[in-house]
Amino acid sequence: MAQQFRLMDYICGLIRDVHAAEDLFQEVSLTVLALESIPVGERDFAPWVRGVAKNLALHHWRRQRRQRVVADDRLLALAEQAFAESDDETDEDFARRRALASCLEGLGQTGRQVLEARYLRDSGAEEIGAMLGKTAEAVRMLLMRLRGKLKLCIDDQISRGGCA
Amino acid sequence: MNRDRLEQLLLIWDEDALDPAQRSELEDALADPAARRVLREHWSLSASIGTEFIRRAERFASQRIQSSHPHPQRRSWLRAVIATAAAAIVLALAAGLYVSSTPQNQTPQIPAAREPTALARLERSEGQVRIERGGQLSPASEGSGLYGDDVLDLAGTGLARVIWPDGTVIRLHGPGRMSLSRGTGIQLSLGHGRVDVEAAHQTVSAPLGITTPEAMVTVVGTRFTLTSEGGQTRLEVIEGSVSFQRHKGLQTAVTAGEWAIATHDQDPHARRERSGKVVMIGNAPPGPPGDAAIAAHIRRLGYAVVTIDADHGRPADLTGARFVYISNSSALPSLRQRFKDVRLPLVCSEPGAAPMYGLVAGEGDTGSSMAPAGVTMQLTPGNPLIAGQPVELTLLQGPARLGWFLNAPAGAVVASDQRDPSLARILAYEAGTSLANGQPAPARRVGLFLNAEAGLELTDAGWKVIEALVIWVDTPPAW
Repeated sequence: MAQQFRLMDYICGLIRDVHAAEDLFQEVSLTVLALESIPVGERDFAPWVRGVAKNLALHHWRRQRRQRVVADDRLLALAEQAFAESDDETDEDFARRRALASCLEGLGQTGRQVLEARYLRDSGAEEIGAMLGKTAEAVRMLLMRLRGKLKLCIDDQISRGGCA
Repeated sequence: MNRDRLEQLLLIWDEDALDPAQRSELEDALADPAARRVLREHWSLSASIGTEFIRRAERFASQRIQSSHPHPQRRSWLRAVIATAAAAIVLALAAGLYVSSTPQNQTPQIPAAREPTALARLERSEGQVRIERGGQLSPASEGSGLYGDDVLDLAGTGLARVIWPDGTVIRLHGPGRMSLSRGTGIQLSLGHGRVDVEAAHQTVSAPLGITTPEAMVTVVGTRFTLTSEGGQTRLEVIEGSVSFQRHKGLQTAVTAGEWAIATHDQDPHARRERSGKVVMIGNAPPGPPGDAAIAAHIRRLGYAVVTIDADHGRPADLTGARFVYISNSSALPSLRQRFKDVRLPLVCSEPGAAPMYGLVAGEGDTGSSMAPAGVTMQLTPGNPLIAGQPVELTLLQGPARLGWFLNAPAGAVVASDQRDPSLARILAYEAGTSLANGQPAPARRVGLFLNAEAGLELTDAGWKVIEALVIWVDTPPAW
C-alpha cells in the first residue's frame, strides 16, 4: 500500500493534475499487469515502475503540449533520485493521509478554498490571486503557510497515534 | 538553502513557472539529500491534498443525489411513526397472523433497508424487475434506492438501468441477477446475465469491481460489457482498459476493441478481432521477397493487404484502409509526389520519407546501413507499445540493411541500437502529439527500421515487436 501511495505521489508530482494522475496511475498498473514477466528483480521494481510512469507521463505532456516540464530533465532526474532514496523506508503514508482529512478541517474556509483551487482544479497562483485580490507571490506564501500548518497538524496527530 | 526558500521554489516548479535562475538554484539545492527528502514530502503532500479534495467532491455529489431522491429511511418524525406501525405489521406477519388474510393479488412491499443512504438508484425498469432484500423478493419501481446486499432479479427480457451518484450507469439485461455490496467503491456481483457498464472515473483506492462466478473485473473509468452464463464470463471492452482476473488466477489487461473469456479453470487472454484493408505502398507487384514476408505477417494478424506501386498508385487507393505501410522498396520521388498528405495511421520503413511524414526533423536525421547477423536492439523499458517484449533482442539472423533515425524526441523512441543508442530503430507518435517537425500527428505514426530485404533475415523476436507495433498503430488511442 505504501508503494502504491508513493507511486501516486510521484505521478502526481510529475504531471501536477490529480485527476490525470489517477488516470495515469491506472494506466501504469495496467501496463505492468499486461507484461508476461517483469524485466527486473524485486529490488529494482519500484524504480522500474517509476520509469514506466515517467514514460507514460512523457506521452501525457506531449498531448498537453507541456514542453517546459519535459525540458526539466535534470530536475526530473533529481526527483527520481529523491524517491529512490526512500524506497527502502517504512513509512506512515496511510496514517498521514487519514490525518490530513481532519487537519484540513482545522484550516479556515479561505484556506481550504485556496488549496482546493490549487490542488483539485489546478489553478495557478496568478489565477487564485486574481480571485483573492492578491499577487501570485502572496498566494504562494499563503500556500506555503497552509502546507506548513497541515504538516505540523499531521505530524502532531501521527505522534499521538490518533490516526493509526 | 533554508526550507522556506526550497518550498517556495518547489511551489513555482509545480506551476512550471521557474525562470532559468530559479531552475538552476533548485537544481543546486537538490544536490543535498535533505533537500531531496523535502521534495518527496512536498510531492506527497500535494498528491494527498488533491486526492482528499476529490474524495470530498465525490462525497458531496453523493449527498446531492441522495437528497434529490429521498429514501424512506431519511424520514421525519411522522414517517418514523408510520415506520413503527409498519414494523408492527412485519412482526404480525412473522407470527403468522397476517398470512392467511393476505389477498392473493396484493403486491408485496419492499422491506425497509437497514442503512440510511442508498448506494444507487434504479432509474429505469422494463419487464419483470424485482428487488430481493432481506430474503424477500418484491417488484421494483423506478426511482427506488438500492442498498448494500440488495439483489436485482430480472426475468425474461427485463431491463434495469441503475445509476450511481458518481454518474456510473449499469444496465442489467434479463434473465439476470446482480447484487450490490457494501464496501469501498462500487462493488457488484453478477450471478448470471449481462451488464453494460459505463463507469465514471473512480478513484484508484476505490475502483469499480464486478465479480462473477468465474472471474472479477476491476476498472477506474471505461465502457464495457460483461456476460456471465454457461460457466464462463466474457468481457468486451468498448473504451478504456479493464483488469480481468479469474478467481485465484492470473490478471490480464483488456483494452478497447478487445475481448476475453474466463472460465473456472482457464485464465482470460485478451483478443482482438482484426480485419479490414491495409495498403502497402512499395514496388510494382510482386515486389521484393522482403515485402512479401512483411505482408504475410500483417495478413497473419487478420488484415487483407493490398500492395500498390508508388509510381502508379493514387491517394484514392488508400480509402477505407486501416493503416498504410510504406516500404522502402517504393520510389521516393513518387511517394513525395503522390502520397505526401497521408492522414491515416502510418508505418514508414522508407528512411527517405521519414522527414516528409514528420518522423524526424531533417534529411540528415535518417538513413540506413548494413548490420551484421546477431545485431541487437534495445527497447525503451516499460514502453506500453511493446509490453511483454524482452528489453533486448537480437534482430537479424543474417546480415541486412537496417534503417535508423537520429535526434528524435525522447518520448517517441521505442527502440534503439544496442551498441549506439543515439540511433533509434523504432519511433512512434501518438495521434495529436507533436511530430519532430512540430506539426500535430493526424493519426498514429511509426518509423520502422525494417528495410524490405531485412524482411528475409528478421528473427522471430523481431517479428513479434513489429506485430505489436502494427496492433498499436491500428488501435484507437485510449486517451
